[in-house]
Amino acid sequence: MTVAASARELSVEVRKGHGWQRVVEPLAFDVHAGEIVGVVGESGAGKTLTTRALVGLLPRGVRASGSVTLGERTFDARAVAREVLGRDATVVLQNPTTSLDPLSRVHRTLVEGVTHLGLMTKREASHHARALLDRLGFPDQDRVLRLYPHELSGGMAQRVAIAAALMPSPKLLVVDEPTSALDAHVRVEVLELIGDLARDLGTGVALVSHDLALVGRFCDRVLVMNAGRILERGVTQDVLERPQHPYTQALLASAVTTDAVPRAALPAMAGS
Amino acid sequence: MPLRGYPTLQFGVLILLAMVAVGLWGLVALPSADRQDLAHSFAPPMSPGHPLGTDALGRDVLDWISDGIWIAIQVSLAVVLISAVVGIAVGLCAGYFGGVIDALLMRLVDLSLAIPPLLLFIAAAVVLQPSMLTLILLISAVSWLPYARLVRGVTLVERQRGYILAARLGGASRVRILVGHLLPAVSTVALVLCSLQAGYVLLWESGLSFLGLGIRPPQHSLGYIIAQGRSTLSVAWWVVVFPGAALALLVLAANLIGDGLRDLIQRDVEVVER
Repeated sequence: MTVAASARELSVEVRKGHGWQRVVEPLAFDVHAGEIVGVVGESGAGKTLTTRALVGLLPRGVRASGSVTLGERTFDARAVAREVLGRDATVVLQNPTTSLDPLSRVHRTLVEGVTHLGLMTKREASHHARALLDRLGFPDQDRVLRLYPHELSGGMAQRVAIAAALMPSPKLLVVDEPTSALDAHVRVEVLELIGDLARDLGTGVALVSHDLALVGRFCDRVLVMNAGRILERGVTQDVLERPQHPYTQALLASAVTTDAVPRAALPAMAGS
Repeated sequence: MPLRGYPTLQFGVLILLAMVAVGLWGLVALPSADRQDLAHSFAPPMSPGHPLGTDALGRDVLDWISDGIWIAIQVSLAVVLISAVVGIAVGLCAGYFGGVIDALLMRLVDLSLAIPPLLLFIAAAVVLQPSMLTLILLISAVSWLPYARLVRGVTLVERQRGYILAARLGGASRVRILVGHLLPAVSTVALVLCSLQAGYVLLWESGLSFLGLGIRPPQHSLGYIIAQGRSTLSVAWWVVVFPGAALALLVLAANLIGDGLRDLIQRDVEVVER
């Protein structure tokens, strides 16, 4: 299996006063082509910062170090963004209704990036956009391309955002809580589409989520993170069914499932 | 009729079109307002050949008004264009880049707002040659400030929205985001300000021309003829009243269009955010 993206000695620091405080310890992991890797953990575990560092775009006052490899090329973590964003790596954000420019029609949202970066001509991009929308389950692509974001439902908007992210056929797709703003029945559909397309395009997907049920259903492998460290990693079934690390066991125990005893107190995570 | 349901906007556009028609008609059909005819000075309204009367030198008031409207529209369009471009550019950069750039640009705006416009104009009139170009540049020098403040505020809100982050994540450059995504986002509020400001610009233009600091013959400003007619107001009210009414109608049209546009855009915003 070819490696789509890998991180080596990747760490993240946040500016604190005059110094820098490390919030993600140096870590290493690979995402293979066509597979979905789930990154799970509590809020503040460093999931989002780690995946953002992978594509090189961090908020102000946050910096990464280490190296990131995408395909055959290796970058310093500080210089990765300009080289890869919109080409080899793309991101789908959490809330689809705000992540689309309200004044751009779907056509522009899809076509602008790749044509601006010179990856495709306008004609190729339009053609490609139609093909992607078709794969994402839009029966009438010409009509969708003319719509504005406010005319789309949440699920449609997120599928459009996914199409936009897949336009350059990236090596790495980061999806950050892609379905938490969506209705339950749309979640499964959206994730299935991401999985199918990733396998077809040979794109490696890093899925950030705290929904263990979704991760268990869609991810090939899982990284369990807490306090900026990867505590456990492995094939999804192994990790979720036979967790080795006490943190993973506690995380699984505190998950709400349909077979839980009604009104029984759920085990809570101990604070750190 | 288009714009149904927006009576303010309709009414404003109608008045503006009527005034433009008078201006155009004067440009094409009427003789120059410079033509003096002392034999027919102080002709009252409805005199043959002079529907709105003449002034002390026998110059036709209607000619003068139609020329004046044309000048007023030219000046306010030019000022609105210059100040909108400068103000939007400054506001976008200040709001998007933040930090030192924001601090420098906004202190410049604060400083400029602390100068009373009328004092600036009078001081400038001493040094500079009064002409249409100087007038346009002077009024623009104070008119871009509200744009900068307003646009900066809207930019600060918009840059936090997910689609700006999404554009960055999609590989868009800063310039691309500023021009391609933030400029359209601020353009609606800026458009309303443009229209409301056009009214103020009209008042400044005629006010300064009234004081002799602005446009002078052979170009014809409404303010100038009002100033001329003031001395003979007791014998010839029409020399002051008709140009004054034309000016008031122009300002009214600008304000009505501004208010109407705001209603129109507000409704669209509510539809989008619902």
